Formats: sequence, structure tokens, C-alpha cells
Amino acid sequence: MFGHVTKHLTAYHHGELPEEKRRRVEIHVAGCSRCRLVLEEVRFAARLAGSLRTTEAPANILEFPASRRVPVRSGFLVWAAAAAVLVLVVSIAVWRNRPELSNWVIDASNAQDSRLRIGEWIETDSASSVTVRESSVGQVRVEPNTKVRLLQSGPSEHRMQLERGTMQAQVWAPPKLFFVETPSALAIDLGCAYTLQVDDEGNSLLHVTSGYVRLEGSGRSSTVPAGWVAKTRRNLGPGTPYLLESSNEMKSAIDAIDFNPDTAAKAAALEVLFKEFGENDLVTMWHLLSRVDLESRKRIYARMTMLWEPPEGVTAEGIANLDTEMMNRWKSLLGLNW
Amino acid sequence: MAENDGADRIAESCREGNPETLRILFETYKDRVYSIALTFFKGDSATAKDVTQQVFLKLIDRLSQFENRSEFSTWLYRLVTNTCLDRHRSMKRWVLFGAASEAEKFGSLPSVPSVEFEYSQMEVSREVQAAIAELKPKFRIAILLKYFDDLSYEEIANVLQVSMGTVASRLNRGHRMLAKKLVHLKNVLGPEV
Repeated sequence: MFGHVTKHLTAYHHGELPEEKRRRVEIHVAGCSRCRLVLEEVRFAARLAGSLRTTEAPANILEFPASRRVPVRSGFLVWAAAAAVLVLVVSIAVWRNRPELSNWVIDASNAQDSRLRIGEWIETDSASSVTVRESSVGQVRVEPNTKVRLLQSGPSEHRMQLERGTMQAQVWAPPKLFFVETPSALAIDLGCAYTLQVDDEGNSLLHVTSGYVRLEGSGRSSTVPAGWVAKTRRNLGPGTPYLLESSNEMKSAIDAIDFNPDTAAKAAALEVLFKEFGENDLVTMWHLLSRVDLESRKRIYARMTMLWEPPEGVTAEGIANLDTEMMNRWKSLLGLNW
Repeated sequence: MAENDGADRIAESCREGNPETLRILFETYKDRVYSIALTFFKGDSATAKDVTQQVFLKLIDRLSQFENRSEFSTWLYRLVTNTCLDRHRSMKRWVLFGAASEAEKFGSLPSVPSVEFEYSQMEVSREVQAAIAELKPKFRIAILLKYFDDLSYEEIANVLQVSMGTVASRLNRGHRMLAKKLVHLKNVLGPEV
């Protein structure tokens, strides 16, 4: 623990710190007026949040088991939704390549649901979007100007292909059951919600909003947690994940390391990263370890250990040699162990 | 998750096909699920009701597949979280069409409330709910899981499928933002017990 302990104070207040860390926070707070003030702030917020009271659900909510209804929007939204359905019906082009029906249904709000067939393409134009849903798996929002199809649907695997455009997936199935193929990588759901975009070149951008997604392709693999983003490039596979709010300089530097073949550009990019790296970038750093040369790896790892206490039994030499067990211990520490 | 064992028994009974137990399960959790959704959606009771229904429909759909009973509560709150986030995203699509009034339903806060104003407990609670509803969803949901069901960091991490460090960070930032938003309530809360 370095310097002030403000980031640990809520966990301290909730009794969620390990004993040793708790004692260190306690000692620090006793001698630091700034951290004491923050602790007061946290306690104040906790008292306020603790005043939340459960609200009794409305009595008529008990109607729920009777039938599966599409929730009815009120007022203007009903008409807006109805208009959207009309646009949808007119503009979605569907080609039925194979006859096998799946349990994925095209949900056109209050319109009649229709089941999607294996191999069937859904293509939306600039004015339309649609949700497809499988009750035991999750749902996928197909945004405008998107082409996607269902490749497989079964108890052990549901697989889609996103050729271009944008899809938003919310998956409640167990991890590793829902897959999306793009021209440059395979996205493997690890229990999550995410947005996946594919451009006309076949490159993609993944933004995970809940849980984790693993990207695989061209011999590379990236595990992307919620709040993080990763790009993929055709023939190069997934890039290094970075925080959505990372600076533009950092994003450009990561692009260079991942996708620029020029060695000098990569070296310059690494220097940029060393100026930018902070505690929140450990996931980025961990991914970079296996994507840079030995000397760069040693520097990155040295920075990691400055920012965070390494897991037990992990040595700098082991990480320099990309020792699988030691890499996995860090991976586990970072919550990427899927 | 104090009722976890009971919920596990109920879930097992549901899987065995006893319809009455499903009702008990619903009765056990409906108020908490509804309250989380209500706060998440700035007091929009219609949306909270829809979300609550969706959560239980999904629960019914997947109950037969559920095998690890010890994770039942985690699973339920994950459904709640995903359903809230899902609805939040879909509602954003309509924001240009007049959803601005949604926030007003919950009662927007006066920017500089008078310290002479006599706050009742209900009013404090309403302001807290409104302030929480203004947080980013990832901070909002962490606080709701913490305070509506007193989940541990580990349990919240399992629900949100993030690391415990991320939970700690989100709660820490959420608390500090909340304290800043509600600093005017410092003088109206009674002494700490």
C-alpha cells in the first residue's frame, strides 16, 4: 500500500479488508487528516445508503405467472414502438437458407414473434433494428446497418456470425455457451453484456458492459472485463484490452503495439504507455506481457509490481520467461481466470 | 443473503414441479427485486414492475437448468442486474422522445436546498434514492446490491461477474459521489448511533 489509503476506505468501513491491510489502513488513517476526512465522507454516504427501505411491490404484479406478455409501454411510447414495428416489418430482409428452426425468436415488440432458422441471415437497413431472444441464453439487439446470422443453436452451443454492423448481447446462459464469430475474431461469452461492432474491413471493436468476454483469433487471446474495450483486426486477431476511458494517446499506443508491424513505432508506443500506465491499467499490462520483447516485458512487469503486490510465488524471472503458472496467478489476481 | 438456504430449498422444490413453491419464492424476493428496480429507474414504478416481472419470467425459464443450489441468490441478483441494465439501454433509445420527464417522476432535487427545511425520514430516503439513481449504472447497481440485501463484496463480485477489487473500487467511488451529492443532508441526519 503506497501513500494515502482513500481507495480502500469503503472496503475498510464495510469490514471487507484482509486483517493485515485493515491494520495498515487503521494506522495510516490515525495519522492522516486527509484520509480521515474521506473516511468520514464514506461513513456519511453509508449511513445515507443504509436508510434505503424496501418498497412493497404492487399487488397486481402477481399476475406474472399467468402468461408471457410483452411489457406494455404507455402513452407515446406505445405508438413509437408500434411505428418501429412497422418500419421493422418493412425493412428487415431475411433469407431462409436452411429449414431447421431454432428457439431464437425475432422479437418485434408487440408483433407476432417468429422463430429464427439455423443459417438464417438478419440484415437491417439504416432505419431498422431488431431483438432476437432465446429464453435460456439471452438476447441480441441487432442495430441498424447490420448483417448477422445464427450458425448453431443447441444445448451445448449457440453461435452467431456478425458479418458487419453492431450487435448488443445480454447473455444469462452459463459461460462459454454463446459465441459470436466476426471476420477477425471469435467472441466467447463468459456471462456478460457487451456491444460488438464490425466495420466493412472486417475489423471489430468490443465493449464489455457486464461480466467478461474472451476474444480469440489468429493465435491470440484477450479476456475483456466489464468497462473495457478491445479491437480486433482481420488476420491479426484480438488486440490488448484497455479501459474505455483511457486517453487517446494510450489507445493509439496500444493500437501500434498490437497492429503496427513497424518495430520503431512499437518501441515509441511503449514509451507512451509507460507515461500513461496507472493502477487501473493492470489488465492491459498483463496482456502486453506476452506481446512484447523480453526487455519490454521486464519493464512492464516492474511497473506492475510497483502498482500492485504480486501474487505469492511469482518472480520477475518467471514472468520474463512467461511461466504459465505465474502468468495464471496474475491472471487470477486480476479476475481474468476464465 | 440470509435467506439463501431457504431459497435453495424453494428453488429445488420448484424444479421438482411444485407450483406453490414458486409463489413462495416470488413472495420472498419480489419486494427486494422491485425496490432495486425502482431505485435503479429513478422511481419509475411502471418500469420497475416490468423489470420485476421479466426477472421472475427468466427465473422460471431457467429454474430447471439450475443445479448449484448454493449460488441461487447470486444467480437471481445477476438476473436482476442484467435485466435492469438491459432495460436501461433500451430506454436510452427513447430519450429523445420525451423520457426527460421520467426523472421528474422521482422528484428532482432542488440544487441548493434550504437547511431550514424539515426533512422527514421519508424525504431523506427519497433524496438518497434520487441521488443513487443519478450515479452511473455500474456504481448504482453495486450500491443497491450492497444495501438492499447486504451482499458481501464476494457475493456482489459473483453477481456482477467482476473482481472483488472492482467491486471495492465501484463502491468506494459510488460512496464518495453520493456523499458529495448529498452533503446538504449532513445537518439533517441525527447523530450516529
